[in-house]
Amino acid sequence: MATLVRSLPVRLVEVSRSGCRLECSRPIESGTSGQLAVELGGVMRIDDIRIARCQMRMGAGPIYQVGAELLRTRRLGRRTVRMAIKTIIDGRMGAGHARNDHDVPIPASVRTTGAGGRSESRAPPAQPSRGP
Amino acid sequence: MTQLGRRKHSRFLLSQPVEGNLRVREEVAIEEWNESELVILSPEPCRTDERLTLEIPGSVRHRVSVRVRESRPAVVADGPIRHRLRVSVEGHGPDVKKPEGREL
Repeated sequence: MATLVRSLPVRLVEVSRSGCRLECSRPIESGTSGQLAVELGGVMRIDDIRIARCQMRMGAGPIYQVGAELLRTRRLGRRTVRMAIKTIIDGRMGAGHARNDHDVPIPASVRTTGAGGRSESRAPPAQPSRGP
Repeated sequence: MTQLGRRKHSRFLLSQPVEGNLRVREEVAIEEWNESELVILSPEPCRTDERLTLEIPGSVRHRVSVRVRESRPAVVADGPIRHRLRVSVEGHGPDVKKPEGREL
C-alpha cells in the first residue's frame, strides 16, 4: 500500500469560523480530508480540512462547489487558514479584501446571513474572476 | 439550542475569491514497480499527464513524483471498481532509495 497525493487548484469563495466554501474543477468525495493552502494577507496559510459536501454548480461548466470543515488539527497560529478567517471576520485584514453585501463600510469581509441561516450557495462571488 | 446539521456560524462571501491549493491523499495499491514506471490501483481516476506524488511508507518515507500516462477502470475481485493508473517516475524525494527492477 502507498499514499497518492494529488494537488487540486481551488478558489476560496466563502468563509465562516468553522468552515469554508471552495470551488474546484473536479468533484471531491464527501469525507475526504486534505490540506488547504491559500495566500491571505500576503501570508501562505495552511490548514487541514474535511469535505462535507460537493455539488456541481449548475450552468457554470465543470465547476464544483465544495463545502469544507476546518479541522483543528494544529495550533491556531498565524499561518493557519483559521487565523486568517478570524482576522477577516474581525475586520482587521484591511479594506478591499472583501466587502459587505449591504455596502456597510466594514473594512474586511463580506456578506453574511444570520447564524443558522443559509446563504445563497449558488450565488456568484462579487467579482467572479481575478485577473492573472 | 442548536440543531444537528444546522450551521452555527455566520458565513462571509469574499468579494474577491482567493486562489489556493488543496492536497488530498488516498490509499492506493502498487501492482508493479520498475525503475521508470509504476502501476497503481487507485479509488479515483486521474487525468493523463496529471502530476502526482506517491508516498511509500517504511522506515523512511519515500516520496516519488509521478506523471499519469494511462488511467483505466478496473474491477478488483470482490471489490469496488478501481482505476488502474500507469504512471512514469519523474523524480524522487531526497531520501528515496532508487528501486532496482522491483515488482510487488
